[in-house]
Amino acid sequence: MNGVLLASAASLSTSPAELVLLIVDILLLSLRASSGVLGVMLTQPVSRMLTSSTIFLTLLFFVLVAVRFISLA
Amino acid sequence: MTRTRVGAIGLAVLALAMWLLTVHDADYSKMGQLGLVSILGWTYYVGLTLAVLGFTNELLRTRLRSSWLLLFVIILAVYIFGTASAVEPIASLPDTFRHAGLLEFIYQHGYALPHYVADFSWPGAFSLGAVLTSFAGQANALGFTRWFPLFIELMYLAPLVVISRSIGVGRRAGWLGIATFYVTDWIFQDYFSPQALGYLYLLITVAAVLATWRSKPSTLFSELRSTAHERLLRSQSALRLARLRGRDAVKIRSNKQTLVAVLGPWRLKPTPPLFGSRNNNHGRFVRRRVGALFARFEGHDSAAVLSSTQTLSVLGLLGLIFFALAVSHELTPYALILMLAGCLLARRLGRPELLAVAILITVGWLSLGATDYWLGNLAMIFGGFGQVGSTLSANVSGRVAGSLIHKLAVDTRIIIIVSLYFLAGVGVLRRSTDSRVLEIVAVAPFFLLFVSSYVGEGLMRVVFYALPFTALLAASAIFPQQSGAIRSWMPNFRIARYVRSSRATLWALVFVIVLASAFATTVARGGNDDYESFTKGELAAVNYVYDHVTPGATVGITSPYLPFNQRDVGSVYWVALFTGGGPSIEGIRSALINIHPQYIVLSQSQENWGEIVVGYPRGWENTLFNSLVSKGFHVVASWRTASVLKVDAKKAKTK
Repeated sequence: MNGVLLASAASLSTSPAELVLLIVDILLLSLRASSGVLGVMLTQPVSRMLTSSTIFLTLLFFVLVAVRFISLA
Repeated sequence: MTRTRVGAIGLAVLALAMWLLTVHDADYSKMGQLGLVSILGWTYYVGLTLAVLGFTNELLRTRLRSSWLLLFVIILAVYIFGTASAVEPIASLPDTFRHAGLLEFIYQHGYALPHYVADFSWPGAFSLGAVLTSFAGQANALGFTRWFPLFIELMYLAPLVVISRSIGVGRRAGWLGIATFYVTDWIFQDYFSPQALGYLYLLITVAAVLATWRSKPSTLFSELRSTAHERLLRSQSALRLARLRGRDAVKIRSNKQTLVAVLGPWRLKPTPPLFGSRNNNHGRFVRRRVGALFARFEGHDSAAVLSSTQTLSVLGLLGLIFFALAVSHELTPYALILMLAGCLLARRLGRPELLAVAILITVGWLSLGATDYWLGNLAMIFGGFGQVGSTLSANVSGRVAGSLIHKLAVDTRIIIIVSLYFLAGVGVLRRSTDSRVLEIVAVAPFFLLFVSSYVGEGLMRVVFYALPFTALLAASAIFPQQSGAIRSWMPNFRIARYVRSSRATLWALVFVIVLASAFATTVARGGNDDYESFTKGELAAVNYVYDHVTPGATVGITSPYLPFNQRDVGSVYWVALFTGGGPSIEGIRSALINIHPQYIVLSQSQENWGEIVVGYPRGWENTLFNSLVSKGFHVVASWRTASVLKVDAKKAKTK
């Protein structure tokens, strides 16, 4: 099934950091969204840490994408 | 059974009967340069008029009947999108067959062929198609292609109904907007393609977001709006007669002193500053505004109307849809991202994480999954950044070409879109609402033009993405919503003041607009069918080549208007010599010989393309045929509309 869904599975393995960042970032966003929807009260430090780490990982992800574009294209 | 119900049933049955009669009588072989419309008889126009009549009657009833409106919208869709499928022998557009070929490759091999075409960098839709083809027990997807446009357009109906009910227009405007979408959609993006499926994903996502969250009363601009309003009133007072007479000034010196000091004796009355007291309150005001802005971008200005479990389920499903969309099409995810950003701005998206996930998945796939596509092509992707003017010019002027008859279809397309946007503009001015989400979502896809011209198709695509929302705005010009915190920009225009029967006038207005659009779209949509639709003979010629060609060999065709590439992807190389304007016929012959093809396919659709788009003389392909025969080619198979030529090696050597 992987072969069907992924155009070039090899390209994923060439950039593991980007892939891991993407997955972790989506997981953090999912955590944030589900806690918001379910009304789970997070303490302010936890909420701030969640938001700031999500923003940081997102920025890092875009930096890696740019680096990949520049280095390969 | 009531009289109105009998009338509605009669109109629906008559309209469908007329359509069946049209399809039965239409002779595809007599198609002319005007395309589909050249073979449609009077029954088509009478039947379409009856369908519009039925729809208008239902729309102007005091109590709306959704099921009957739905029925008439479906009949309209059958007329606009089903007629070509029923009349033409096989599916139209070469890309339909190319996509069927890519799907077949995944079906047979289980993976997408690397380094082959850009489409394989987004293989999601082909993979889904392969799974469905396998479930259906078919050998390939060709059986699905012919009726696909009608099928997918009807699939759009469900999200369109949800959008029309939750985007802030009245029910009448909603139904009229849906009908307007169908009768103005001449943009042929509903053929068997990933973008057609991607568009369905886009509509479902927007519909789900709008149905899940409602806007809370806006606090962000209310204070700013009130102070701006005060300023406006003050500036208006500058023109009052009292000010011109000097009554808005106070005297600070005695008359005697005034005579002495001519300059500077007068002071304006103190006016309150725009943002409160600049010294004390300005910082607090800015902080409040920034805080409110962040609150909006965190989704606090929206409230979910579903339970928390339902909202979470919607979020999960939308995440899956994003992934399916991101791996299926290269442009649609970006249009969706812009629309979601618009929803967030307009207080209709309660979880900004959804937007962030959409961006991450889309960019992530482009970077990691579509490497084949962008390696060496970054300039093509981002080369048009900021060049909106040249993008628009390339998109419009590049298409206004061809014979006079063909230009009629092209001009009709432009007239439809310009008229629609004019009506939409009136709708924006006339409607009151609680949120400007409709306007924002209608405009959002146009920002794509700042990034790329999308190989000359960008404008067409963004108009297509915005079409459902533009159609709803256009419908609001006739049935504007009268209530809402945001008041209309135009005074309420009551038609009853000017005419005896406002209901009859509205009826006539709706009838004329929908009918004129439906007729125009019939001309515009089928305007290219003379060269974009194919005969069974042409398909048989292509299949003959596939059955006899040596793997790895080249097959020559004059233009890409042929049902080719539908099988054996990657093993046969079809070279279409000219995709735009062409050289002399002798030049075509030399170019064809120079690519050393094993076979050459000449066909009716290619000939029609040469006559209509390039302006070659009638029968130019016969001249080319004779010229090729004189150079050592001979016919190995022929049908009434297509011939397959093969080079005779010995003769060619002698020549």
